[in-house]
Amino acid sequence: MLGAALPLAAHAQWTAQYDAGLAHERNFSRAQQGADRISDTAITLRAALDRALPAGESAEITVGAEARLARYTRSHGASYAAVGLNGGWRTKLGLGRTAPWIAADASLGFEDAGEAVRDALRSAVSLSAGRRFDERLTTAAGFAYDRREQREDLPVVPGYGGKPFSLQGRTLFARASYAIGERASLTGSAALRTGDVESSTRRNFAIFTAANAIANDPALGADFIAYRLPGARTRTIGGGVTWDFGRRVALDATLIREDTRVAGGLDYDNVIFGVTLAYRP
Amino acid sequence: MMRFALLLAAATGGACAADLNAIVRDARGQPVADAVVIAVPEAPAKAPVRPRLEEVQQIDQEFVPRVKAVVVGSPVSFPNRDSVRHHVYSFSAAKRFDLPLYVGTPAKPVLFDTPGVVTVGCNIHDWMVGYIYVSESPYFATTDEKGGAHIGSLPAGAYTVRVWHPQLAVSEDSTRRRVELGAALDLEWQVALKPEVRIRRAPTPGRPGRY
Repeated sequence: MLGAALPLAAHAQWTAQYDAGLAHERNFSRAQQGADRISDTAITLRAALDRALPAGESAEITVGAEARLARYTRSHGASYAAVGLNGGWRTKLGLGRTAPWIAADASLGFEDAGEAVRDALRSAVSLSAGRRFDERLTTAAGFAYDRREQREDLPVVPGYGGKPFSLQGRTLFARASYAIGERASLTGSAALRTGDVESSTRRNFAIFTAANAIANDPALGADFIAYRLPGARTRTIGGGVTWDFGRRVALDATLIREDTRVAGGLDYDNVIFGVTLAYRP
Repeated sequence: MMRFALLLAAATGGACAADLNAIVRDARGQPVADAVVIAVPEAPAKAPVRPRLEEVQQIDQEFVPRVKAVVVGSPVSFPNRDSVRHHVYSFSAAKRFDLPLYVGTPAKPVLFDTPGVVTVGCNIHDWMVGYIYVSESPYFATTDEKGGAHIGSLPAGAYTVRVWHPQLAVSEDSTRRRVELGAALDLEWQVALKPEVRIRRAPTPGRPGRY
């Protein structure tokens, strides 16, 4: 078996990529009430290394590793460093650039944040399918399952678990990209996630009764509490533009709106604006 | 880089030969590279065309050259100079073919036996696109970065000369000109080009790898 794999490895391809960006969230705390809503901006850095291996006539397997840093300008305790591993399989169902494809991906990573309550092991798996219609339009859709496991149990209320950042959810997503010129592309995405969410607010009886895990969240302030809310539905709509500077550098700007519905009227929304410069040597 | 395709020069002799110098510019007057200039003689050729083995390489996951002109009947080899495998194919009416995943040089070249434009791609790297212009005439050249093409040692006589480019916004037919070649002749075209929209190869932030 190893012998059979060696010729494939000889034709594997390494791909490195470095991203640097800014991400601003209007409701970083994911709070319901205006007084609890904290906006923040993060400076983000990311380095990734992937290796693609051929797997049959039109399939490939990808394995990779990445490291990320996020430094929040206000909520320093939320700043984190992360490392992760990922793998994927992708195959085309036919010949040609418009042939549809299917893919399966999985990832596992660890985040070490400024505050222990935000340290977490993250994992995700996804199944997706897509198709390029021509040189301009490409689309994809799929299903993902995500899980975040808070590293340390930090209970503050008897009878409540202390892991509000241990979350899981299932997401249906779709995305599309349309080239509007030789260098520019428009992107759009939509997603519906059901599962747990974390919301950080000051003491609040309504959210206290709806939560099933509670811990202090000093990253946002000494009086902030993190609550885990089960059964939430989050609708996400996003749009953006990407500008290519040749084949190695691209600048990407995205605007994402999230609307989360939680039982008991604990709804909240969030807007995220991000700008990222990506470089592939 | 200027390319010559003169397969009948020896047969027709150089004594009554003419040179054709072409310049191709876009609507803004900028030079157009990778345009194919084809001269079709009105009189049939006196000697049979003897196609030769041509080559379109894959280097750094691109076809090199991006535009290759060959005379009809030419075999073309597709050597892969990359360390990764390529799967070269075409759905074009002038030639449909498929070279499943390979490294190195495929054992058998592909025969291009029908005039026309053949668009080639790679099934693994969708951004790779190349064009093979299969000319019915042995007299053609591809423009260089300065928009210039030179076809030398043409037999004197009447020709229809035309231009093709992957982004040509007008029909190839509309570029036709009838010329009488006795000695050297300079021709210039100003053609409208469509914007080039290629499949993205630039990095997408957050990919590959995301968790």
